[in-house]
Amino acid sequence: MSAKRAKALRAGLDPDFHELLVQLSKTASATTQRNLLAAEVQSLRLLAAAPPSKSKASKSRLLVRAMFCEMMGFDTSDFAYLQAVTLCQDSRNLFEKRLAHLVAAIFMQSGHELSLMMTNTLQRDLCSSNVFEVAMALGVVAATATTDMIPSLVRFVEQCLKHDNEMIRRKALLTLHHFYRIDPEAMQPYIKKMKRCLADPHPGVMSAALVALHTVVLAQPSAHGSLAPAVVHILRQILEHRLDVSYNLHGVPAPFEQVNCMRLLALFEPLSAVVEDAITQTLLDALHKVDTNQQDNVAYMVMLQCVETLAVRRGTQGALREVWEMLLRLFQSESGIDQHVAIEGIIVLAKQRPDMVRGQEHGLIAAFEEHGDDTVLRHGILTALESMCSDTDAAVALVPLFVAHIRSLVGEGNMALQAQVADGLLAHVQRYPGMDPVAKSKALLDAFAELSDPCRRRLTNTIRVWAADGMLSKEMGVVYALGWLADEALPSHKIWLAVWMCGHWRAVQAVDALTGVLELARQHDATVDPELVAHTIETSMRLCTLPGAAFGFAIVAAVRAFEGSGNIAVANRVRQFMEAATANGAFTKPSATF
Amino acid sequence: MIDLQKRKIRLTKWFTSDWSPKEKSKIVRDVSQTVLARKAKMCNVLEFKEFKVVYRRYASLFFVVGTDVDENELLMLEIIHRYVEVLDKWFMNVCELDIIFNFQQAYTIMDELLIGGELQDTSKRAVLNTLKRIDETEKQEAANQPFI
Repeated sequence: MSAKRAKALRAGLDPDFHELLVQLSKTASATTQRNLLAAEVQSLRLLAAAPPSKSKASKSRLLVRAMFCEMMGFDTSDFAYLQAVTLCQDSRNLFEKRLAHLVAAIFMQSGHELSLMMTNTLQRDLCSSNVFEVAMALGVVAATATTDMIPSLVRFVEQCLKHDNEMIRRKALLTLHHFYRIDPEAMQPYIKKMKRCLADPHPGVMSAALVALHTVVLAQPSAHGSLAPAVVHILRQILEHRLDVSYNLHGVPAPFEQVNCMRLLALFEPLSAVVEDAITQTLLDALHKVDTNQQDNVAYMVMLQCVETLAVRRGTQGALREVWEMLLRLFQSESGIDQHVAIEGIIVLAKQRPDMVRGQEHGLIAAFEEHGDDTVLRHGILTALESMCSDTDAAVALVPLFVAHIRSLVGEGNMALQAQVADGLLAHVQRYPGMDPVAKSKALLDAFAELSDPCRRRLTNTIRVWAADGMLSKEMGVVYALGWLADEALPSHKIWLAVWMCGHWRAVQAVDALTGVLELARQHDATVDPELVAHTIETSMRLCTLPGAAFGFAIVAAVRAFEGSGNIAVANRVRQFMEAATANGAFTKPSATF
Repeated sequence: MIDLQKRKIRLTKWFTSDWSPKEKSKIVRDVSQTVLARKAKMCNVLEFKEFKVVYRRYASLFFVVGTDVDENELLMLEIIHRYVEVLDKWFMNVCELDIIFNFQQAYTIMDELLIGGELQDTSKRAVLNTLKRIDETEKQEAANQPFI
């Protein structure tokens, strides 16, 4: 036995797996890593087909290695899933059962068809006298259950709600919550039992009930208003330090439970005056207990949720003013996360109580200019400013910020956010019909120019519609189009739109620029979209046939260079162009001279 | 969980099955690239497609959580911290190698902390006690295991 294998065995590790991990750690190349893992999957496949030993221990070793490969994105379903299911059924001891359940929970996350085969095993484990077997089974059910499995498992999970052990009751409740998320209709009869868990003597179960009931109340806020006094009572008890200190974090009493209570309170429909007063007073007490000077995420977590709930519940003016001052103090902080929290709070207040935040735009705009490199903060500030925007003048002032934000996102390469901001700008300019059409058009064209090429298509249709409706003026459009044709490199959607704009407005002066586009396209033959070439040739033909225009030598030569094109659309356009050029006398022979 | 220096994924866990394995790999790749490109003083929350990504850095490891946009992001940050605290207590001063060579234990700890994507127990002591009881019961049942 080699020294390495002996070392791995002494450490309690499978030597082959240990070797794989060491090789993966040493390699810096992603390709080498992929090859190593692919080879590992293949060797596991062969091992599963012809195992050297039929022992459960060797099966366990194989499953751990398969689990690792699956985690790294390699599919092992053809050989490992069934092994996991059989090990779940045949495991001899707690270790093997735990491993089998862990592996099954990871493998069958996608609602794999084999998860149905585990139903009987799970039913048996859910009725086990061993607490850990029940707990593991509940974990697997929560990870793998599908709508088909719910009817056969829900009774067993419901029985676990009455278990003596709080861990089982807690897991059972969250498993029922998972069932509710995937099939709310089937779980309607069990909502009452979930509500009863709110009064469980163990705080862990009560805490889990807050999480589960959040989803239930979110679906039907009007039907569960009776829960509000109970939730307020729980929050009050937490603030009075009635929970065990092990639930505290950084001096804040049970912060997760506080946040869950507040999230639940934000969902209820308007309640009676007495209950609303109790909610407001309790939330204010929670806010006073939060020490924002300690600059701790836990404190901010509670504070942010407090702000959101107070704003939604139409808290008193005094309470919200206090909140606003706290947010402004946070916004002055140098920490990015503090500013983010402040921005999130401002956005909530701006949406729910715009009267509170009016007049504060200048500070936010200054912060936007200052944080040029933090696109997330800028995005939050822009969202807050948009929420605070109440008139056309403010809307016009925001437009350059949208364009600046797009520019910084392009620098970062964040396509998803670029698309979101582009859509946001479109919605923003359309929300204010009184905005000057010139300002609107300029906004859209500037944004279009700044965006990355794949995101530009989001604005193309709107620009074309505005051009057709006359909202986008010819003078502005042609200037932009000619500028883009001169500056832009191929391939680019910007060029496509510029060509379209020139054709739409019959800009005869663009023929030279279109010639340049075709010459560039010829140089980048392999990468240029044939549709762009065909579009440019067609537009050139339309422009050259206008009164006062002619088929110049340069444009004819540029189009002729595509005569041998294999693309049908391009070949057709070239043919049409040449026919039109001939009809317009472009190829008249000069008189012979001697 | 991403290793900063070697840019490797150490652990992934999905609580929703809305995507195919190929889509999941792409999401992991895109999110990793986005998170690793961020500077130290930048905000720990960013938007990715229709989700929110919350991350936290511990030495050379990034812990990244993807969640719905209406979730409290600071709650996610604290859940990450709670997970790291439990790992630290369990492995007694956890380091990256503990997670590499004992990833299945890291999964088990995560399964005790989160169920169906929700925090199941907020008490660190309760989670550790449960893990210890399971471990002791296993040791009583089977004396020698070849690995793990």
